[in-house]
Amino acid sequence: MIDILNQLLDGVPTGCVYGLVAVGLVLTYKTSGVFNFAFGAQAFTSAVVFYICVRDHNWPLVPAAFFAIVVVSLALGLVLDQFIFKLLRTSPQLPKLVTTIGLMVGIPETVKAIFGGSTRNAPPSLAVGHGWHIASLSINADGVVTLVATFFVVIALTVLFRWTPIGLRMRAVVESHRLVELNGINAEHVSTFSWLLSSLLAGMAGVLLAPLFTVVDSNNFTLLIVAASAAAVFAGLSSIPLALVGGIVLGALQQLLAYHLPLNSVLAKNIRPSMPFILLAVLLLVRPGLRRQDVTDPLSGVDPPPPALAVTYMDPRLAKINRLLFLAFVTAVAIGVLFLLPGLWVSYLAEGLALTTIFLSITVLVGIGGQISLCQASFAGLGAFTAGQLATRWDFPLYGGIIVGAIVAAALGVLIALPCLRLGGLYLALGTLAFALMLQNTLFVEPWLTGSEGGVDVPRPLIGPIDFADDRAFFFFALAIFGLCGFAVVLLRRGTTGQYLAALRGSEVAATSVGINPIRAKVTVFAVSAAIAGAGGALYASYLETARVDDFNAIQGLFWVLLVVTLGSRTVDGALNAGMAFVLLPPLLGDILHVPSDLVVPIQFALFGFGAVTFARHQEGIVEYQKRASIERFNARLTRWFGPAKTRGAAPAPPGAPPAPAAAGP
Amino acid sequence: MRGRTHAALILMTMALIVAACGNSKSSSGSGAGQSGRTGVTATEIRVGGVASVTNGLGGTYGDSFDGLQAYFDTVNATGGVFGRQLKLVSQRDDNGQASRNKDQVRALVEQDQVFAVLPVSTLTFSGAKYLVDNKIPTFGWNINAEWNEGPNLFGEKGSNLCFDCPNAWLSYLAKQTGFSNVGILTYTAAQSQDCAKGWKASIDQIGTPKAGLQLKFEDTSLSFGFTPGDIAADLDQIKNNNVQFLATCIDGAGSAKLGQSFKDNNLPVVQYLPNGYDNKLISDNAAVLEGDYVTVGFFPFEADQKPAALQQFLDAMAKRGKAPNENSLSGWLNGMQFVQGLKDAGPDFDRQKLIDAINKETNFTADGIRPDGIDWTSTGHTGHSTTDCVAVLQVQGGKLVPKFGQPGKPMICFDLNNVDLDNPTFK
Repeated sequence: MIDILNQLLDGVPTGCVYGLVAVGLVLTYKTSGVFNFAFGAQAFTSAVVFYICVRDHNWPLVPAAFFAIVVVSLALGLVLDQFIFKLLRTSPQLPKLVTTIGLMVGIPETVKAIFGGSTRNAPPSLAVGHGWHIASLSINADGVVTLVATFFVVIALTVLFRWTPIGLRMRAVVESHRLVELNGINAEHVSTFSWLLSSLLAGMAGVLLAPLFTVVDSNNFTLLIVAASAAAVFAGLSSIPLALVGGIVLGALQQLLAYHLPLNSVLAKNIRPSMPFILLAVLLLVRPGLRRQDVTDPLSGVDPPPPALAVTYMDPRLAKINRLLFLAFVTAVAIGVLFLLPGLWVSYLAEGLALTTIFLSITVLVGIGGQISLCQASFAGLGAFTAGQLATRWDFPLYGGIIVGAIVAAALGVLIALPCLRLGGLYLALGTLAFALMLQNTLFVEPWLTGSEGGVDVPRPLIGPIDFADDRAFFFFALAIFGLCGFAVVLLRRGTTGQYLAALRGSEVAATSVGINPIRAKVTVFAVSAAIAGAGGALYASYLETARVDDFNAIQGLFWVLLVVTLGSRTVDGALNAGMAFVLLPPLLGDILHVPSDLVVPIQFALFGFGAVTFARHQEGIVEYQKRASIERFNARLTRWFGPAKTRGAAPAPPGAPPAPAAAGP
Repeated sequence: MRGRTHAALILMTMALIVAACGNSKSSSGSGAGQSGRTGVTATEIRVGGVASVTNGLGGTYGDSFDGLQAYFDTVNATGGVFGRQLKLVSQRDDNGQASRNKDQVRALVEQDQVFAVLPVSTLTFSGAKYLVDNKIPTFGWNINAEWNEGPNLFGEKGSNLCFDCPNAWLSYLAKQTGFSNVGILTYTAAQSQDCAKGWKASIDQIGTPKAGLQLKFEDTSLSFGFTPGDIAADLDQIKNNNVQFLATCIDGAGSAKLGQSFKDNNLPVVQYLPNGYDNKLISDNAAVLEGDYVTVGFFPFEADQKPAALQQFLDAMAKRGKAPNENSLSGWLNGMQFVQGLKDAGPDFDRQKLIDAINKETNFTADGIRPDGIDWTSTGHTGHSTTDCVAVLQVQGGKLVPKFGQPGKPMICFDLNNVDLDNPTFK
C-alpha cells in the first residue's frame, strides 16, 4: 500500500505541469471560446529564451526565468491576443481551431528560424540540489520546484478569483459572456486579461518543463498539450479546479502504470507512452457532457452555407477560354515532363502529385464533410506500410498494394468514425490527434508492420510489361492515381452523400428532420477519406521507394492539414496547390532564393503555420478566394467589352448567393 | 467538366504511352545522365555533401562539413590533387527527414553537378539507392544500414554496420573493473533494438562464459525524450537487482538525464555512453557522468602519442576555431579516403575509376587514425570483421581519459573467433 502511495506521489510533479497547462487551456477556452493549441508553442518559446539566457549568455537563473516567463510570455500573449485571437472570438469553431493549430506549427518554427534550429541539450533548471528523500519517497529537485510553483499558482488563482474584481468578472464571463456585457462590463478586456494570465502559465510551464526532458524540442511541448488536454477535458473545459486535479490525477496514474506494466514488454513499449492519449480518447468518448453543444446562441448550430465554388461564378465565355487554357496547360506540363524539365524537377512534380493524392483525403473530410481530422497521416502511413509489406513479403504488385492499403485504411477510418461520430469540431480534432499519437506509439513501432531500421521497401509500379521505375514514367502513374482519386472526390461532392453532408454542415437537426441519416453520411465520408489517404500513402511511399514512420508521423499530418485548409480544402485544385507548395517551396527557397539550407524547413513551416491564420477570413482557402476575385474581375471585363452573356445565370453573383453553374469545377 | 474529363483521359492515355516508351528498369535516378567527370574542371574537383545540421537529437552532424573543409584546405595548400583544387561547393541540410534526404542528395548530383557526394552525415540515408543506381562516389558517416547497398558507398569506418553483433570489450571491461551485474536499457527505435540484441549477444556469448557477467536487468521499451517519471520503474529494478553496469543504446542527452536520475536516487551505476564521445556533453554534465565509459573505433584525440595525421586534424580544427569531435573527424576521414582514391585512380580519374580504385584497397587506416584498417575488397562493404577493436575512455573530472590501452597504442583489439580477454592485442 505504501509502495502504491509512493508511486502515485512520484507522478504528482508531472501531474502538476499537466494541471498548469490544463488550467491555461480552460481559462482561455471559457473566456474566449478558443482552445489554444498554441499553448505548447508559447511554452516552447519561453523555454528557448530561458535556455539562451542561461546557457548562452550566462544569466543567473532567477532573472532569466523572470524574463522568459513574465516579459517574453506576456509580450507574446499580448501580440497573439490583440492581432489574432481578439478577431476570432465570434468566429465559428473551425477557424479558431485551424488558427491555433497554425500557430502551434508557426511559432516554434519562427523561434527556430530566429534563434537557430539546432536542438538544445541539457536544459537548465531552476532547481538547486538533488531532491528530497522523505521515508521511502524520493522527489527530485525539479519536482520540488514544480510543486512549489503549482502551490503558488493555486494560491494566486484562488485569491484572484475569490477576492479581486477582475476575478469576479472572469468568473462571470465564464458563466455568461452576454449577460456580463449586458451589465456594462467590457468582456473583451476580461478575455484579454485571461489570455495574458494563460500566457503567463504557458511561460511558467515552459520553464518548469524544459529540464524534465533531455532536450528543448518543440515536439515535446506539442505532445504535452495533447496529454494535458485530457485533464482539460476531464474538467469539461470549464472548471479550473477540476483541470488542476485532472492533471495531477493524470500524472499520478501515468506513474502508477509505469511501475506496474512489466518492463521490456509490448505493453510497456506501446501503452506507457500512449497513456495520456488513450485517456484523452476514452474521456472524449465516455464523457456525455462533451457530446452536448454549449448553446447560448439559438443560431449557433446553424452555419451559413459556404460560398459556392469560385468556378461556378464563371462567365460561360470565360469558361470556354478557361477550358482551352487548361488543355494547353496540361499539354505543356506533359511535354515539359517528357522532354524539357530536368529529372530533378520531374521528381519534385511526381512527389507533389503523390502528396496531393493524400491531401485529397483532407479535401473530402474538411472541405466536403466539414469535419476536422488530424490523423490523416496515420491513414496514409497505414496504406504505405501495407503496400510495402505486401510487396516485400509476397511480391504483391504495387497497384494491388495501393488498393489493399486503401481498403485497410478505410476499415480503420470506419473504426475511428463510429465512436467519434457524436463528437464534432474541437473534440473530433483532439480525438483524432490522440488517435494518431496512439497509433504512432503502438502500431507504428511494430517491426512486423513498419519494418526494421530503414523502414519497409516499397517498389515502383510494374504493370505487365510497363515499368514505372523511371521518375518520368512514375509521374504519369501518379497522375493517373491522382486523377482517379480526384474524380472520386468530385463525384462524392456532387453526389447524394455530398449533398447530405452539405445539409448536415448547415444544420444537423434540420438535415435529420428531412430524413438524412447523419451516421451513414459521416461514416461514408470518413471511410472514403481514409481510403484516399491510404492509397496516397502507398503512392507516396512508392515515390520514396521506402515507407518510414517519420514520413507519416502525427505532427507531419498537422502540417498537411494546415496547408490544405489554408490554400483551399474544398476543391481538387486546392489539394494540388497544397501538394505542389509542400514539395516546391523548399527548392524555391533554397536553390532559387538561396536561403541557407538549415533555414529552409523552419521558414517553410512558419509560412504554412502563419498562413493558416488567414483561414479565419477566407475559409474557402487563399487560392480559392483569389480565384473568385480574379473570375469576378474577368467576368466584369467580358461584360463591359461584349455585353452580358446569353447563357442563363451568367451574370456574376454576389458571394453567398446560389450561383447558376456555368462550368463545373474540380 | 466534360472538357476536363477528356483532358484527364488524354493524360491517362499519354501516361501509358510514355510509360511503355520509357520502359526502363533503372530506378528513379536515370535522369542523372552525366559523364564520369561531371564536376571536374581543369582547375577544380567539385564535391558537395548533406548533413542533418538541424535535427531532433541535438547531434552535431553538420560539423562533418568543417572536418572535410579543413582537410581540403590542407590538401589545397600543397597544390591539390593532380593540380586541381578540391572544392566543397554545396552543403545541404536534410533536417533529419528521410524524404528530404532523398531530394537533397539528388539535388547535389543533378543541380549542383558535383563529382562526388561527401560528406554524408545524416540520421537517415534514403538517398543511398539513388547514389548507388547512378554510381556516384559517396563518402560519409556510417550510422545507417543503407551504407552497404552498393560498392560506391564508403563509410568512414567501413560500409557495413552490425549493431546486433557481439563485442568483446564489455567483458574485458568487466574483468578489469570487477563488475558482474549488467543491465541493458534502450529506446524503442529500430537501431536501439538492434543494439540491444548486440549487448545480449555480447553477454550471452562472451560475457557470461568468459567473465561471469550476469544480465540482471533489461528494458528495451524506453521512449526517446523520456522524463524522470518514465524511468522511475527502471530505477527501482536497477536498484533491486544491484545492477553495477548499464549498457545503453541512447543519445548523449539521454545518458546525461539517466546519470542525473542515478545521482538523485543515490545509485552507484556506471553507464556506457554510446554517443558520449562529445567533449561538450561530458564537460556540461561532468558531475552526473563521472566514471562512465565511452568507446571509439579510432585513435582518440586524448591519447598521449598521436599519429601525425590525427595531430594534423586537431591542428587544422584549432586553426578554424572549431572544437574537434567525432563528426568533424568523420568529415576529415571522408576527405582522406576520397583523396587516397583519386590518387590511386590516377590523373585520368573518373567516377568509376575512383570507385574501383578504392575497392582495391585492403587496409585503409587513414594514416593510423583508424589502426583497425578497412579492407574494401572484403569486409568493407559487406560481412563483418572478426576483429573487435576499440579505444576505451572514462569520464574523469569532466574530461575523457583513455583507459586500459598501452602508451601509443590505445586501441584494444580482440579476435572474435577466439576471444582471449587476458591477452588483447594493442594497436
